[in-house]
Amino acid sequence: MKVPAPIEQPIALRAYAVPQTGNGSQMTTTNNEGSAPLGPSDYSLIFDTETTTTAEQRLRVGCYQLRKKKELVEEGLFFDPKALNSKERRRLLGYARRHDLKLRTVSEFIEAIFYRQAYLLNALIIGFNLPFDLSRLAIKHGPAKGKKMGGGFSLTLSENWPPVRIKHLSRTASLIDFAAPGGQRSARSMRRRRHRRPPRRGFFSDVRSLAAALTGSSHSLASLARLLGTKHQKTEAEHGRELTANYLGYLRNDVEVTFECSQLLAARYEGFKLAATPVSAILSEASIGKACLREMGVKPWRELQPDVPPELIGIIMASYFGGRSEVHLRRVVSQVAYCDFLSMYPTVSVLMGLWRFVTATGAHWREATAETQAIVDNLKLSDLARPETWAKLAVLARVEADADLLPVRSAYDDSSPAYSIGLNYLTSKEPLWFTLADVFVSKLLTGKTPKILRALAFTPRGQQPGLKLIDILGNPDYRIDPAKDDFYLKLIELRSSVKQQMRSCNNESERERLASEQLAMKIVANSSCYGIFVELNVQDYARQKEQVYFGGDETPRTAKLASIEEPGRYFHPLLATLTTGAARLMLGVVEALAEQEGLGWAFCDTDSMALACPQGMPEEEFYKRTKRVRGWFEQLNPYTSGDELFKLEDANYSLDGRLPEALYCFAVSDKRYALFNIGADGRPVLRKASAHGLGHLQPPYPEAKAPDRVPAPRLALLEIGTQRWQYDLWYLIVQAALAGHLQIVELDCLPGFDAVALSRYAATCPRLLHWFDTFNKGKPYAQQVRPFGFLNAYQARSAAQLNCVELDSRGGKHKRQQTAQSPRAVSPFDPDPAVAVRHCFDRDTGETVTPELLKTYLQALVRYHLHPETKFIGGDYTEAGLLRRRHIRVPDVNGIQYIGKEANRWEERSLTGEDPEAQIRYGAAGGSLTELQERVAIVCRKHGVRRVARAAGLSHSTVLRFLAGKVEPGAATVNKLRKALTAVVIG
Amino acid sequence: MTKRLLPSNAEARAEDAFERLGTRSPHCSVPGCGESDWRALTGAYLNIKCYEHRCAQQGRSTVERHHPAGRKNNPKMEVTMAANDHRVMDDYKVDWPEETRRNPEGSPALRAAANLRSARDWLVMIAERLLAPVIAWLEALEKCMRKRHGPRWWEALGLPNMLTGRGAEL
Repeated sequence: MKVPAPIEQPIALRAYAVPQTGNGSQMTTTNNEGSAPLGPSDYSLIFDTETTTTAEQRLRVGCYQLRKKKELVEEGLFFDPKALNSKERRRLLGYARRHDLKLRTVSEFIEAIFYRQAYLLNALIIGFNLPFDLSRLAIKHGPAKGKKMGGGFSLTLSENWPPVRIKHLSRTASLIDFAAPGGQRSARSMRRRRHRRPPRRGFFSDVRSLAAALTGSSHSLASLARLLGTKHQKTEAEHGRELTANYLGYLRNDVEVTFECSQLLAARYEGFKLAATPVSAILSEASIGKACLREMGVKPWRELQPDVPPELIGIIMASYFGGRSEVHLRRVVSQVAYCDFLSMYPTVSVLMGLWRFVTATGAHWREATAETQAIVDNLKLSDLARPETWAKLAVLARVEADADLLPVRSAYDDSSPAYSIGLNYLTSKEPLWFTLADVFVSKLLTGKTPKILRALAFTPRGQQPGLKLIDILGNPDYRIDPAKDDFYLKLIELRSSVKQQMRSCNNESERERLASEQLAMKIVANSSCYGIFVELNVQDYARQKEQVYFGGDETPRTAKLASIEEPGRYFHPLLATLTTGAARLMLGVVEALAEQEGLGWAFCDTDSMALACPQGMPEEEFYKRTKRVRGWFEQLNPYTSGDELFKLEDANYSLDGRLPEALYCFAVSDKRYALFNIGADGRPVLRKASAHGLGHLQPPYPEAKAPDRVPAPRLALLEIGTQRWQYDLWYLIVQAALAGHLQIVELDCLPGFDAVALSRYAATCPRLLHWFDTFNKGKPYAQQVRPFGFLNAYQARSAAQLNCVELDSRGGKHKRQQTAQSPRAVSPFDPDPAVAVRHCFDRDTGETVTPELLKTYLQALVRYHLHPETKFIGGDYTEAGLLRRRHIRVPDVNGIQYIGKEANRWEERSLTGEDPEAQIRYGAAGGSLTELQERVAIVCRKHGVRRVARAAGLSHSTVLRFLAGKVEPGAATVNKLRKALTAVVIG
Repeated sequence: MTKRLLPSNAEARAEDAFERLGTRSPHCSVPGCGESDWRALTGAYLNIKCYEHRCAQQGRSTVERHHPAGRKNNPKMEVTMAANDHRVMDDYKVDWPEETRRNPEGSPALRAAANLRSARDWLVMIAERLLAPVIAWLEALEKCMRKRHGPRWWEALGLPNMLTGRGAEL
């Protein structure tokens, strides 16, 4: 294989920031030793609010139920007297009387029910999308403080009671608690005994989070109620109209549905039999994984082995890369066999014996350079067919990369600061750490042995004492002994047997029970084998803090950052890096086998690969060869259940699932692909399509208005993985590709595509809410856009017509020269997109942005099917065909940037102009950002800001903001600044 | 739908105590004590002791003098009672109206009300702390006897039926 000429490109590695120590208090909390956490009392408060449909989304009316166990204690309505007219108030009163409901003003509800009952009784406060409802009750807000909630909001509901703090974690999960009230809660006698009563934090259960954790997918209240089959189902109502009895009935019904869903989900969670973790503590699937380990008495690695040097954790983190997701055959219609691995992460954990690490008292490590080099030197593909080889993969190797094929994290796209990972040829004089699995991949695919400078082999220490047997889902037939069994192996086998029982079961209710059991097992297996071991929670602070971090070279460095990464409870990055490394090796093996068999591949994504049929190969021969590839992995199959390890996905069979049917693929870039059959009429039948790069956009039209030109999907949209409008878009793309015009896709026929493209977000963190500072200025609180309120964001067409006003470094205003920066357009919420767009403004300057300056759906998506695959050569907009790997040369030590947790969905977020702050950047290996800042300041003092800015190709204000520490530059900006410094000083 | 009365303050105090004690099912850790009323328990999880055992440990008396109607209402009326019971009686008093408890002007009506409230509290305490455990014990005994000797276990054991007075002679 010919290695292309190298190009200089900075790369990024993960770093380990040493956690911030506490205040050194020796006090112990009352219930932290040996006792199960004190869960909520028997009381629960379920409530829901309805708001105006204006920008401020102000509370109009709400409904609540106070219950003791399941018994209703009080049901009532509450309202904001200023948001209702007298007619509506009379109607509300009449409704409350007729239905024997208590009617309270919102302040009465907060005082008498929310605090005097729910807070004082430690009731479980339940809602659907609770952050939104809680923020509707607030009378003011501020940034939340503290290690756990920093970066969140503190909502004051009443001046007399502690505020509610909310920190957004993900699309479906938020941490919610009560702030600690002032004053001393522990009696002097307790304090003398060094005991401290923990502050009352309350118990909150967001049904949306719980549903996402227990069902593995995100739901609306309506879809959740349908899924769970609740007695009451969600009804529809028109919002923003005058209050009517029907509307109040709708609101009451919502509360009832929320309660029923919470009961059914709680019952489902009870089925997990994880008594040590209350349901209110379940925020995501990871919470279930952690609860499971806790139930088995597994103690966290950091507790058992606190003396692991941070230098070593830095090495481990530097070797960590996520799953491999690539496209190989770009924008070419090809016949494929779409295959995926059975439970990839649990499977590689089983093969490597990682459960022994989980249950060990720690890990030993030793130098293993010579033996590792020897293993790699002699490695053959057939060695990987032996499970013993996989059992020896717990090794990290420091490699002097010289055109070796290794995972490379870099900002490949010059226009975006987002990092992505590609398996590329790498040359670096600075040695870098990789897992042995990655080194194997390089050897397998290039035939060349990477030069290993140092290798560290890890083995588990002795087993932890006090491990407890666990009955999975409380069933003694599903008993696992964590001390003897491999938890992941047993769990996957149990799941397979339950699935087999399910297939042969004729009884509908029994089948449903088995389906729910197998889903629970899947959730437990996936959640306990990977994510929790690399859990890093980002905490945002108002001010920058000095942080010590370690990269791969064992050198402590410091950086000043406002965001700090705190490791989660079961943080054990060695397990995470080995797991993802081994998963990449699995895909590497598939690639090698495919090459051996003369097959191609179209794309791969973490645990799956679409093997492509080469032109001219008969279909029968193709399937025969793919079968040989799949069959190779059976030598590694650790399961006795009979399930194939690398299996054909359902999409490879006809819609009724009986016969194999030719499957085709059209892949644009990583995670953007469609799989389809070709019908007898020559039209595509979509089987699977990606919503990647589309999910941030609001549907331009409802399902009912889908164009006639696109035939209705033959499968449920849920199975295809898209919404209807996304399906239509993919259909047209595939249709154009089949017709042979790859460049032009006629999207004009899609209704609503001439409207301005709109993305809807919630103001989930102070940074997002700051967008509305100008809008909120001077308005009373009730009329302001508040935390968790919805807001609209748009994509600007061009900044050429825009004159922005911005603050200069002296705080004064001046007209900025026209720059390449586009307006960052946002607007307050309005249910009607056409109205919302009329209130659009630039969030930096507050100036109005006219709709002409904004992209329509058509303009935003016109190049969707051309989206470049920048990781590889041949992936530019108009290019199609086989992509080739890049050859990256790390320029120097400053070409290595140390970063924190990678920001999610950066690409989508950047389209709407979100700041690059979401990505933690510690600094370059050759020096931190602070050092760069100092160097830039020195050069600017001598040569002037304007000269430096010009040399760097940046705006004057960007350089000024960087010097003032107001922006964290992306990798591309850092690189430009570094080059500019040299240029200015020399020239 | 049936509705309960809104929770009383005693429930909120109980929650507070559970937080202090670190468990929702607290009981005195001294073997054989069995005190499980949150009002009478001190300490924290794994080291919870009833007030009497805490007093005994500290060399203090385990009986105390109680003013049933409160010092303000009747300073002379004193009874000696077990320290745990005293804690319970004092907690009941927290639910009295502030005026009755303090009676700043020394009103005879409020004094009488306080006396009656204290009498009621006595009855409640007797019912809750003395009778309730006996009732629970009797019902548990019934279940156990039924299981061992059948539904008419008293006949099997040759005991008289205490309600009708009929049955085998002792």
